Amino acid sequence: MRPSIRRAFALALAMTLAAPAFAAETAGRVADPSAGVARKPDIAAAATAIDALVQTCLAKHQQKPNPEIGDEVFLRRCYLDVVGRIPTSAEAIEFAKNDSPKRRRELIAKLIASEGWVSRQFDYLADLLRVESAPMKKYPGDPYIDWIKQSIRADMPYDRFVTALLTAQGRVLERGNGATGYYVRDAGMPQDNMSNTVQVFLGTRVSCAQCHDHPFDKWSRLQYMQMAAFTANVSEGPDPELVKQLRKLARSDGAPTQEEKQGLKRIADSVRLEVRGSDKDTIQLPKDYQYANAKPGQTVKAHAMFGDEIAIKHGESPRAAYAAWMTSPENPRFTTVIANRMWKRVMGLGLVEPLDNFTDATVASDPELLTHLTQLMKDVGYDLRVFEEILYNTKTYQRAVTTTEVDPGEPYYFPGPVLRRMSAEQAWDSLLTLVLPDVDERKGANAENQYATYDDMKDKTPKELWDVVTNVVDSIKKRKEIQDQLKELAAKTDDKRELAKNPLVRELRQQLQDLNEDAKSLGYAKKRQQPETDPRWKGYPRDLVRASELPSPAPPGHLLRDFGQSDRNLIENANASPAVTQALTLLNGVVDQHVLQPQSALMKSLEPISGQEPRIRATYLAILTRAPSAKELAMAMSAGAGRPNGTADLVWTLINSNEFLFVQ
Amino acid sequence: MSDTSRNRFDHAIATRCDEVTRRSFLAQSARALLGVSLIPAFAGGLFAADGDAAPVSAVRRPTAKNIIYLYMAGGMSHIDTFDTKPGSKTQGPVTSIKTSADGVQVSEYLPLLAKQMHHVALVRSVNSTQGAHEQGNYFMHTSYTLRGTVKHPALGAWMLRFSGRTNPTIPGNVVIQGNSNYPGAGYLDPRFAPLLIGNPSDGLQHSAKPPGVTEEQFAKRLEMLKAMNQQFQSRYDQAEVHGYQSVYDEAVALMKSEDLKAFDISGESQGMRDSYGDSPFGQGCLLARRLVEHGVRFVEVELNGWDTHTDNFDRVSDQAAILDRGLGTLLPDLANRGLLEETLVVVATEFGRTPEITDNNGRNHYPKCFSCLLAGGGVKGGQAHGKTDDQGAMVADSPVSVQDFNATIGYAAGLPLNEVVLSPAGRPFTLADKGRPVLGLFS
Repeated sequence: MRPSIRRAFALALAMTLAAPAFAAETAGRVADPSAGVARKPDIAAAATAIDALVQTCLAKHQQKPNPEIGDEVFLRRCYLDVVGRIPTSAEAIEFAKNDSPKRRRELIAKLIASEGWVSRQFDYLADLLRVESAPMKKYPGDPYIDWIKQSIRADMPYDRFVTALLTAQGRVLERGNGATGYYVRDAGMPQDNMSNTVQVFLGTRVSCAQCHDHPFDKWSRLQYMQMAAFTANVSEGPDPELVKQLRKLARSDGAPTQEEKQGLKRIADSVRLEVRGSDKDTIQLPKDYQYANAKPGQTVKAHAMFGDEIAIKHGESPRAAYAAWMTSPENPRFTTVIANRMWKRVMGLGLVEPLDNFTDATVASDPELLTHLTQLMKDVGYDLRVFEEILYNTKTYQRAVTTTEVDPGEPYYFPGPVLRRMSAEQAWDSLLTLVLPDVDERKGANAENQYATYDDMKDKTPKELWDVVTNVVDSIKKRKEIQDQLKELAAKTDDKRELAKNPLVRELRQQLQDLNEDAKSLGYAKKRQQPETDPRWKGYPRDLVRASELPSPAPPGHLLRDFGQSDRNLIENANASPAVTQALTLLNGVVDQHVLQPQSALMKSLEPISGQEPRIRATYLAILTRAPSAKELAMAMSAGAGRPNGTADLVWTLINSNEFLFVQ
Repeated sequence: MSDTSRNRFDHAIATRCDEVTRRSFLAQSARALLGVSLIPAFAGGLFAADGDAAPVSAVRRPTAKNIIYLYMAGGMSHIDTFDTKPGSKTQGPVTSIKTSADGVQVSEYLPLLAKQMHHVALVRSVNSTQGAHEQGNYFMHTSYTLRGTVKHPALGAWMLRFSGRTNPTIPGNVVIQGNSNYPGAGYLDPRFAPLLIGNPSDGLQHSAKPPGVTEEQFAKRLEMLKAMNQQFQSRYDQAEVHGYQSVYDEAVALMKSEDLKAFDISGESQGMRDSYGDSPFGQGCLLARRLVEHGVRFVEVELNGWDTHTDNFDRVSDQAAILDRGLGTLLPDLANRGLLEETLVVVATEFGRTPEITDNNGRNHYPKCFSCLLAGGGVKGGQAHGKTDDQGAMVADSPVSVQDFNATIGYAAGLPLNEVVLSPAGRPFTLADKGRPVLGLFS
């Protein structure tokens, strides 16, 4: 093993020393022969076309592009942007060994086709759509999360993805019907849901017009209400008929106890949670409607706020017509907004900023480019994977980041991407890359056992469901009694071993376990985490999984939250500002707790390497994806890094460095 | 602000104020526009209470050394909490109860607080122009409307910017359970940004060196880190990059502080902890009290969940119970410790909720009028300032804008309301925009 590692270090070192020899290939050559998918365009040619527009715009403003980046910087940036984490040493070495002139294009293609991209894309959508594991603190959120991940994985085109969200209906826990989560997220708030929809997908802020004519934009309250009429009659919640019958059954058994009432709610809120569509396309104006163009309480019909009229065809639901209008290539904002969003994801800044405040007066920093990207999005059939792949292949992306600060509000013409701090998710996932092997493949919880409970209960009559509730409530009562009995027995002795031998205790514990199974079915007892069965991750705590696999959002106090992960209260609520708690967790927490543990992937990989200098080089490669400079090497040597105890200090230093946290 | 609106504003102010005030206002305008003080002698005489022509110094001896700011995220229903409307059809099932303040009633959902109302000045006539959460929250915290081109500072950052810390070894600005996009230091130096605490019961995590790392080793690590970062910081001369240097400096200083224990509420008796209620908000109030005791100047605790579009009455009753327990314990606790006089306690929210009850038994967003409150810190308790009409639908008396409310807080803390601090792009902003403090609230 050692000789190959040495060779790779030599290569990695060569990369730094001979950067010009590894300069970016000239784009615009033959298309990748593997590109066989019908809609997949010539990636390289598409990238060149974008570069030409950027170049024209820069020249017009007397600006020069930033220098091209070397392979090391490209490698790290590409992993962080495409799959959301730093590359492992092995991945870095693999890339360093590839001397094909197409190696960058190949790397992008490989990464964008991987599970890591699914994670990264999910993190983005979770912030945008305010995805929660427990919407309204009571509804199941995992089916929606599963559905989004599956749609990303299966390359569902963005226009179809949005259509599926906007027209979702039916039972939430029915397998494959997770898109209903879009309405469940705003259950009971159809008007807010409409404002959010227009902001997210049309980049337009209309929430002001919920109550009055928009003060700065052209939207009137009437227009808002007409728009809201498309979805105002959609409702979310447990099947009301079932709830009524369950309540009746409960009353017929005498006054239901608090626990029984709670059980009723839980069963209805999960197995019978549904989104109900409607054929109605009208809304009643509120009583405080204040303008002369309509009367308070008047019924108005659904009407598009801009663009083409929405004509509801015979037999078509108002939502289907509205979703078709929304996602149509003719919609004046839909395509532009997603093209601009994807551009920002890749380059760090939109051509229009902010992303979601388009007005008629909005002018992009480079209007020709935005028009071009809009057309490109249509040409690739709204396939975000292909669209992103094109952007990553541009020279514009593969240039140095701008070293000076870009002032908000100042136009930016994209001499290169902008410097960004890692997102919370990138930071967490990168740290995990140092801790776990095959980090992209380790999965967290999913909705499987919720689906199973649902399958078990979906055909039950109200009477049968009520029996489930009473049984569970009974078993909870029994559990409590047994727990009390066990406590009493335990209080009588100090000897735990003797206690465990007591046949009565054994019997009670067995009974308790059986009852727990019952209680779990309605969420009364916490489900124990599934033990790790995959040998690759044996011994690693179960909650060391990528951000996309953790509850959404992570709990307050989690590293993800310290680094600004969205709390999911508002659209795109994540932030990347510095905070003292971030410094504290890197200084005293995660590095020593996880990265410096003997079973961490990093420490295991360093262990067989002998010699101070090779160990220092390997540490730099694993954490910063580069070789140390001569000065850095000398400094690390003199500080004793690479010696048995000195490695920890070097690992700690590199992870705490600004260079680790920023995406250059 | 456009020139026309500035002129209109100048005119409105000038016709209301007497000559002395007008002259100082002109000086003030010059400062605002030019970022300079033309006539130092006049600076500071702008503000006057409604109907009161006497000029008031904006910079004066503060009545509040510290601020505990409790934020009700989502929009707290005023009619179901602090501005009940007995007998009105908009009231729904909620009844009103008497309080320790003469003639001031509150909702039955607030029984503990009712006994503390002699400390409290309710402001029932707050009104905002922002009816959406993000915008409303931002406006309440910064006094400015949300813009894409600048991020404004929140109150805690202004406080540190103008009057510094009282305890230099721990952060002066702490936010507990805050929104993930809290405005923080805005465009001000990141040194003024709040320390963000997630779960108050966990306190400040990772504030001690990792086990097994010696003092010497830690110092060596920091030295290596400094050398690494110098290269990076000279290459990328950007505020965010430098911001990381200051938060690291701050973190290291904090680790050495004697007052770290302030963050650990396990130092309180179980009885004390129970009295604040078993909720992150309640425990956050307790943590806020400890922090203030140790010289933290601004602590915000957030209580989320007030967005009651459905099941308003059940949900407001649950939320109010948490608030009642936390604040209803905090006020007497501060008073018993002699801290209430120097600590201003604030309850704020982004907007109220509609008087109308919807088909879902809910209430929607309502920025036209809503309730906030102030207690301690020089505020005269036992009063209700401003009024809404019988339905709780319109301000009927003494309107208080969001900027006025924030100016009142700044006034209590002795902060220079009229001092302009330019943003990096050279735009002039003040702590409470054009807000004027409500002087009638002070004793």
